[in-house]
Amino acid sequence: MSIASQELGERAQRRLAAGFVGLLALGAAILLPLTPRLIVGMPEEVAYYRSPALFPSIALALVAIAAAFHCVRMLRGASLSTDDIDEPAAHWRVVVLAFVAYVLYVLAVPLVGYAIATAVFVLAVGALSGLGWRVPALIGVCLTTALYLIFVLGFKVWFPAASLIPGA
Amino acid sequence: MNELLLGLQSVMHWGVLASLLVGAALGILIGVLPGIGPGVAIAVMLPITYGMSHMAGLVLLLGIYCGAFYGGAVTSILIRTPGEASSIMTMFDGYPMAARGEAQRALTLAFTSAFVGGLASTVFLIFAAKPLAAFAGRFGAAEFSAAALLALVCVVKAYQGRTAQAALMLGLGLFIGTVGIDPSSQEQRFTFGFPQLMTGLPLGAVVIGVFGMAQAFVLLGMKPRERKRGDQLEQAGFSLKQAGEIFRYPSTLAKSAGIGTLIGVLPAVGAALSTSLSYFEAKRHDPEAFGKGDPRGIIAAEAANNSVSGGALVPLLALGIPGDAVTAIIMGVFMVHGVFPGPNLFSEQPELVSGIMVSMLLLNVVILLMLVFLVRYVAMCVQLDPRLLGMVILALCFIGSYSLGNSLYFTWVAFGFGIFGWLCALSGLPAVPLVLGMVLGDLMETSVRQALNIGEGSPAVFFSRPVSATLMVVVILMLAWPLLRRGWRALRRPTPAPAADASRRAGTGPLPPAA
Repeated sequence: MSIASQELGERAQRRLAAGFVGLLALGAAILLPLTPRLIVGMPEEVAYYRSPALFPSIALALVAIAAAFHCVRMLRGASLSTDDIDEPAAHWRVVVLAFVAYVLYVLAVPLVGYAIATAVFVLAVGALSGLGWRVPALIGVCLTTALYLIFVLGFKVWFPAASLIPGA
Repeated sequence: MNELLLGLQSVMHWGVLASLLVGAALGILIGVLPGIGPGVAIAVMLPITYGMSHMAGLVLLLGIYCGAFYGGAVTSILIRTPGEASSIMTMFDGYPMAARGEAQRALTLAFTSAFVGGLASTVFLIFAAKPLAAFAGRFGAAEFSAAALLALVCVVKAYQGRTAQAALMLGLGLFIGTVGIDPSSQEQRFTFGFPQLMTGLPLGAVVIGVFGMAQAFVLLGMKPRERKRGDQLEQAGFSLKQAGEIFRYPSTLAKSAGIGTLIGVLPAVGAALSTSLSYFEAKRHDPEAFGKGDPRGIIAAEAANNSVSGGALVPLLALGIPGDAVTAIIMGVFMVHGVFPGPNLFSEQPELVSGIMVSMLLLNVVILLMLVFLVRYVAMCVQLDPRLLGMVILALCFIGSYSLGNSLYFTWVAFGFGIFGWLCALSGLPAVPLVLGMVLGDLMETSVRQALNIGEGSPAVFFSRPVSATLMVVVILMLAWPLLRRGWRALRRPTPAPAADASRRAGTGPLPPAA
């Protein structure tokens, strides 16, 4: 598949953004009336300024109103202006594959150990993003060694023993 | 003077000095690499600081923060691609100057004006922070509430044209900050029965997610940069002969450093605004010359850009209110180390405050020296494939978030916020207000509830003391400003006289002047 066809078009990006912001508005609107029930031990009768629900309710109301307003504006065609200088929508398939690879990486650490999982993850992400396998393999080995030395041996970060590979 | 000596004493340890050098070098590199900002680098380096002393950890992060301001100019000038959003203005005059064969002059102007801006703002920090902290020492709950509210309004107002997006993210940050045990009533809020949520969502993991991981995903999806014909990478260098040129434009230099420092003091109003304000202020006097390689354009942008760093630390140290996103993360590091910025910090840990001030002075000197000797090599890093960086950042984010508590729980939180941050980047939602909301929310909620308790629920308590009343009036004026401006414009618009109006309608009135 060509690189150009993997890019998210502006229209699709706008729809995705409007859907995401709409979800935030909906989530906040649903949580708002439920707030007192989501507080364990919420007192029955309490002055508004002593209520633990006051501040979260204000925050949720702000989210719901601002998100709904922005969602409507986007659906009406307002630009997705960002102050960032990069393109988050380019090659979105690679990004989605990187999400999956990361989930597998986190799940693999208790099974095969930190070092093996990290080296394989770096190799896999590099290959998925189109870097081939030689450079990612080299970086995978060097980076894993450096991180192991700094964090595991230097800062004494503890990892559970690998359940599938004893001693890893 | 005694305080500076005390600061020097706390900086003169091999661990702190090593952090200073590493932080400065990393900062320059981060500034040069397009797509990675100081926020990303600090998020990724955050866990490393946990294994260090307070001073060494903070100096490492401050080095990254300051170095990135300097490094951003390199790519703006040489390849017309700003390393940071705040370096866009440097490009307008820096690149044309480089393109006519004066790349070294442009870089020298940029680095020396950034150096003067950085020193000026650090001097301001040294003289302004302590009196402000002494003044804030008399603050009660009402004053802190009003100051935090003003900071939140500034956060939203800083995003001109994106107010709704900033308000949405700020609200989300405030809400996320409420998850866990309520500090006032000790009730559990939004914990859904998960014991991990009792202490709230970990700020470190959220920061690693929205800044580090989200940016790594963005980088993985980017195309590698191709070399262009106009690139001036081989011309990179520093000219000692031209190091004094900035002093031929003293008013531009002084004005820009002043604008940058004052903008830095305002919460969340970052360097991008300070550079544009300063650039357009300088351009106002000679609009024809700017944009064609005028040295004043580079001086105005770079002096303002780097002077934000010292200004942003003033409210952080004196009030516990961060000046921008990066200082918000740095504040998180303070808290993890059990140090709480605010008026009491000056009396409780004077050596730390003085150490920060001295290290800011040293950092500016070290960064300039590094650039003098190494800019030629640093510039070559621009060609680095962004996908390689994304890959490395993701691996660092994993171990960084895991080491927050030796638990995979933190990596899952960071990953969740990583996806969230990528979606935000895709939707044009800024991540900075989210972090500022999380950091400021706690201070805001505690002080608002205390103040309302004192006033028995009456909001009049915020107007009963002079400082809080003044701050609240400023808040109200800032919120009402769009309406006031519209009303003022409507009043100033001349109403046409009835006779002239009638003749115009009949087509017999005087013709409008030719364009």
